[in-house]
Amino acid sequence: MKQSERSQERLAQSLQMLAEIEASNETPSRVETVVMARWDAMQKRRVPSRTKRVVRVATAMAAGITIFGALAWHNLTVRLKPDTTATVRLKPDTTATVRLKPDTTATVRLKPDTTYTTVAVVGGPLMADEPIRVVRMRVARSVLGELGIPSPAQRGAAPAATVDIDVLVGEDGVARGVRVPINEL
Amino acid sequence: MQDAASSPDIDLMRRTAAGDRDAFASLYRMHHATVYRFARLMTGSTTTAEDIVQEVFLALMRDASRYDPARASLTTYLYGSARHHTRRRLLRDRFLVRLEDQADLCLPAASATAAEDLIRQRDVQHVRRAIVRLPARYREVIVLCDLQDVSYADAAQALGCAIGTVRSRLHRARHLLADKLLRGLACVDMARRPTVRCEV
Repeated sequence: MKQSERSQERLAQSLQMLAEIEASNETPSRVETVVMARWDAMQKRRVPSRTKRVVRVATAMAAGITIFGALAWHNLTVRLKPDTTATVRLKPDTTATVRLKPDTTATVRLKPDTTYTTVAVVGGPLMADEPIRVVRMRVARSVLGELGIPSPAQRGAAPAATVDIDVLVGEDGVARGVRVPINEL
Repeated sequence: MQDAASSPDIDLMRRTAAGDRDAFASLYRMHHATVYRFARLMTGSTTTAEDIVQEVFLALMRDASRYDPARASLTTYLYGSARHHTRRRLLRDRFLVRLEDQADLCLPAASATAAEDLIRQRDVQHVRRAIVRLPARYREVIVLCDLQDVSYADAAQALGCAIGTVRSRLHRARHLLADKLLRGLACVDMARRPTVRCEV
């Protein structure tokens, strides 16, 4: 038998012997005690962490509601910036009061090819050189009759339920007049 | 490899993840010896092996919900975890000089005579020391396949390599070990020769 074979055989015997000896080895019981104590400690720590999680979720929900409310409030408030066009949409048969801050300057850009009716005076008298603000509003067609603006007969197509009108507002916030684009009639 | 679907380990792991203390205790009692023996053979130290058992089971209780039985059996998973912690520990302690652990040398008396016991103890001690001095990648396969009776497939999963790699490493490891044992015994024989005083 060669030397390498002998050494391999001896190695196999030694390994087998070592494996038999090792098979009887067990972890000391103190290790189990320590591990189970760590388990208990970890389980105790988990309770406040669940509370923390609930608090985090509640905080996130509150923040979400706050942001949603702020956005909704922002959408309800119409802010006019210079060189912007604002369209206020109202449900039929409702009345809207538009209040502008005294120092706000808002210019409503109108379509160049729009033809308007004559201005129907609805509030106080229109003074010469008085700065006027124009607010476009969508109102029910029935409002036109109440304002004294005659609605000509439609040619073929059914009349729309709402009409876009321009409200001329004075510096004191009171409406001076209303004008209606012809194509809306 | 264990049949993952029929293994009670899966149920125990699920209950452990849900916070069941008894399930975790059962898992510990079923598997602690496997981890302990592996760590003991890998490090050659009883105290280090105890620490590694603690670390492995602490990691198990933390990550019980992450265990996927489809990937490996729990035993293989624990071998992988024990290997990771053992390597980390050996890396951390590489500059420390280990004191001889006398507990390692105590063997149960099984032979008829005291002389046979002594020879047996000496051989086992040499084998143990030779294993500890092997490079880690060879030591792992010797411990898993030759001493723990783990199949090549499970060893490959635990070590994260191919079965062919396990086979080749095992072949190389056995040769290295045989060499070390041969040299170690030769050194012992040399040391036991009586000293002779020479007159010139």
